[in-house]
Amino acid sequence: MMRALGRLLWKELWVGWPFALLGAALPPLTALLIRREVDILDIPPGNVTLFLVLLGLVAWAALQGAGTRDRCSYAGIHFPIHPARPALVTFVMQLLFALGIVGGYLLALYLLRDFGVLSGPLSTRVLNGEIRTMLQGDITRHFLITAFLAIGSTYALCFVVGQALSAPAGIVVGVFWVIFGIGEGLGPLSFGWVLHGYDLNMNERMPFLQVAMTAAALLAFGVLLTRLAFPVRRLLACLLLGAVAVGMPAYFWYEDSRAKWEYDVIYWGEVDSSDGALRLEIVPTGENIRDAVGLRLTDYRRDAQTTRPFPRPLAPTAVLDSGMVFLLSQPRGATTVTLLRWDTAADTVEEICAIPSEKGLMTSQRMRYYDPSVNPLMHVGPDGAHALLLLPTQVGDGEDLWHVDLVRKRARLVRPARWIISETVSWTDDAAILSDNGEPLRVDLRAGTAAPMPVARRER
Amino acid sequence: MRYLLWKEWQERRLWLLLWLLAMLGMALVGKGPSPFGFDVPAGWAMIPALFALLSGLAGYGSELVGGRAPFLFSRPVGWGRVLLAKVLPGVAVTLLGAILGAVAQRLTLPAHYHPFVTPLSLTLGALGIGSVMLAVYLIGLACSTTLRGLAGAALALLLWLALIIAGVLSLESQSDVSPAWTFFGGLAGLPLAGLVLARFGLTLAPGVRLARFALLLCAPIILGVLLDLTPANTLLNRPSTDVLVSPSGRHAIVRQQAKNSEQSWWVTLDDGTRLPLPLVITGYQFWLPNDRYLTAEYDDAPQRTGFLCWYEKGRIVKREFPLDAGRYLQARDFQLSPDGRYLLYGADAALMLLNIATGDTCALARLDAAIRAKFSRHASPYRRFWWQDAATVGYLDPVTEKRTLVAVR
Repeated sequence: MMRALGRLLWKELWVGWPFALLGAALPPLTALLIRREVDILDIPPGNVTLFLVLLGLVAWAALQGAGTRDRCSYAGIHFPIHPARPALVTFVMQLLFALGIVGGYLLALYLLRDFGVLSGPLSTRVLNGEIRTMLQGDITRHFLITAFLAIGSTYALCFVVGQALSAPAGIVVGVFWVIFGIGEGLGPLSFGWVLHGYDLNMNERMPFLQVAMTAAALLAFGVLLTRLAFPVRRLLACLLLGAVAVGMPAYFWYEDSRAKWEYDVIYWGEVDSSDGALRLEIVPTGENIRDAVGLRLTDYRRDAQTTRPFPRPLAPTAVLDSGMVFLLSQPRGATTVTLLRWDTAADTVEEICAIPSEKGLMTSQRMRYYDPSVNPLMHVGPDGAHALLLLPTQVGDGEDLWHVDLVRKRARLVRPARWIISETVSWTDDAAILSDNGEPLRVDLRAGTAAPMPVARRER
Repeated sequence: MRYLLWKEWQERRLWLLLWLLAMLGMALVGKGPSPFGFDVPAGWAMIPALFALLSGLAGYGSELVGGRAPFLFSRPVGWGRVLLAKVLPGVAVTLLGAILGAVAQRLTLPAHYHPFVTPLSLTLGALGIGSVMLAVYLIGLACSTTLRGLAGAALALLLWLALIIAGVLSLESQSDVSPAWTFFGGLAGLPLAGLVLARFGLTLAPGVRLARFALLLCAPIILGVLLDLTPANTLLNRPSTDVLVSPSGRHAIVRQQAKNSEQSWWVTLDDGTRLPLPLVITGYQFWLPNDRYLTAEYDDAPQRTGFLCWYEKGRIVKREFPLDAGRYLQARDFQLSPDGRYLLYGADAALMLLNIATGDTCALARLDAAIRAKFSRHASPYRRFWWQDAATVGYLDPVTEKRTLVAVR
């Protein structure tokens, strides 16, 4: 038996080495791109690499599955081994290959840190923080389990579908599984934490999904391996696994859309007014309250404090020197976000306007990059009559730029679906100018239009 | 030709239909062509792009086994027609997918976006995604002339990665020579190599095909490298310009960066005149509410110098003040007095006041070195301070956290 196993392993090594070599070559190549992927593709760093690695795995597994179907009847008759054994060896070998590839990817990151390739904040964060910690701490265990589950489930799924139906079917199912099950659709949650550190926003049930998926995959694998030649069993295994592969992410999406979130996506410690005399902060309650949050405004000039509860989800957008606080809120299930004005002197809250947005925007990951102190959602004019509001667009990528007339309490879209990287807003009588990056953008507050503002080049 | 197209449809309809469905599906969930003009989509567009690649890879892949290519060329049909029959389905799916995607996108667009959508913007958006899809399809098709199946996919992915790397280096290279022409050479070389192999190489052995593919790809790349070493390399070396407009909207700091050089100007926006700024500091400058700007010198010295600058009657005026080395300038670390005469800021171990007219500084509060050592080196211990009125400054004492007022006149 051991001899047969050894031969099978040797065969698998012989057949699988091109895949392993290709996989091992990809990480160092793409590591060069890791920080640049962010700028070019507008997607989290490292995703392309992992996507490609998983894609290779998907293709290989589906082809292996299809190949096993063609060979199984012959092998079962002519060789004194159970037909399950070759498939099992294939699975184990590919798992080892894939783990080696992911390990190589991390090693490439680690080794390239000293060559200036990964300069910038990403490298500082990733290399000096998460990866080092991971290599030294018990996060390694977590990483290995996560990688094992993700890779194992992907391989098993593609193998089974490839075996039961065909290689193209296995590839298609695998691609969708990578994208929707463990990929960009929910964020590459299996690997995202490796690149971004532990993410509190991570779907807590994702590990459960992976465990369930791997268990179902192994079960289907087992069913399949008992009698590879039986088409009905192959189909049964395929259906079982397909139901789990499609059903689990769909179920979690459904649950997430109904669930009450226990946190606000936008994190903030405190927000100051521009004169430094006012500070807005969350009232520490000692426990996490799901539906409400208490806000406290401290006025250092008057040495006074005002506190008020607000429903979640909530994001502060601006604190004016006059003591007005602007907040963005979105009732659950609403397709608008509501701009609120809290007059802390009178302790009254009024609704300014409702702005169309996608459902659940305030609890969406697309809002997490806004920070009221560093990268605010809203800029208010010095007279308090106008404001510019940035919201993630409903069409593709980028942000929508809204002009909010705070006096007439209405908002109008002035520029859709473009990234606006401007930290400075200048205000004139009839316009707001966004600048700091490239050509300034001038928003005509009367006409409600936005256009690039060329700067004349007459040298004195 | 009709029969060739029928053959292609029979062999590749699964991938072509999946590609079309993926493009349409992306549009229906709002991730399709941009309805606002030419914009190359990213992220989700990887799904239809993947099917475009697989569709392309299936192109000649079926001819490379079982002696199909010699059989095909033994029929009375030219290689050009065969190639056309391989390209046309991809073009058709690209066109159909882009048009249907643009229509689906328009129909599912929320009402508040409608004023920004025109037939031209829709067409340009469809052109954006269509050009990406067609390029990916052609890369797949070119690779399919060399290797089939998984090996062809691996070749396509590696070439795709190489193109991205070259493209990134062309755009981001800070050296005098950027590999822009090399990138274009690589881009043009792929379909060229595919074209030549489609004519002469389909009946060769896989190893020979691969070697010729590599050689054909190298030719335009080498040409590109040679061009990059000539003055033509300056083709893409355009300087980038960043503009920082003052709070009143009357002035701007214009920062122009080219290869290994940087220059800044003070621009008066009303009349367009610009004056050179001697203090060129990358990135770290910001305006105060009175249209004067702050910047600092960043070097390895333990003590840094901050500058408050503005132009007055055609001459630059600057006030220097000491800063600690452990941190960068942030707008919230400075507070201008209501009358605009003084600037309050948190220094390394003290709360400082700068007289803007004279440039004199004085400490309003200071910590002992031993106490200072208990705070972070990367921020002033004086984190919160404000102007109580034009003659009084308030701050939170870093040690006691108590509100303290101090007169400044």
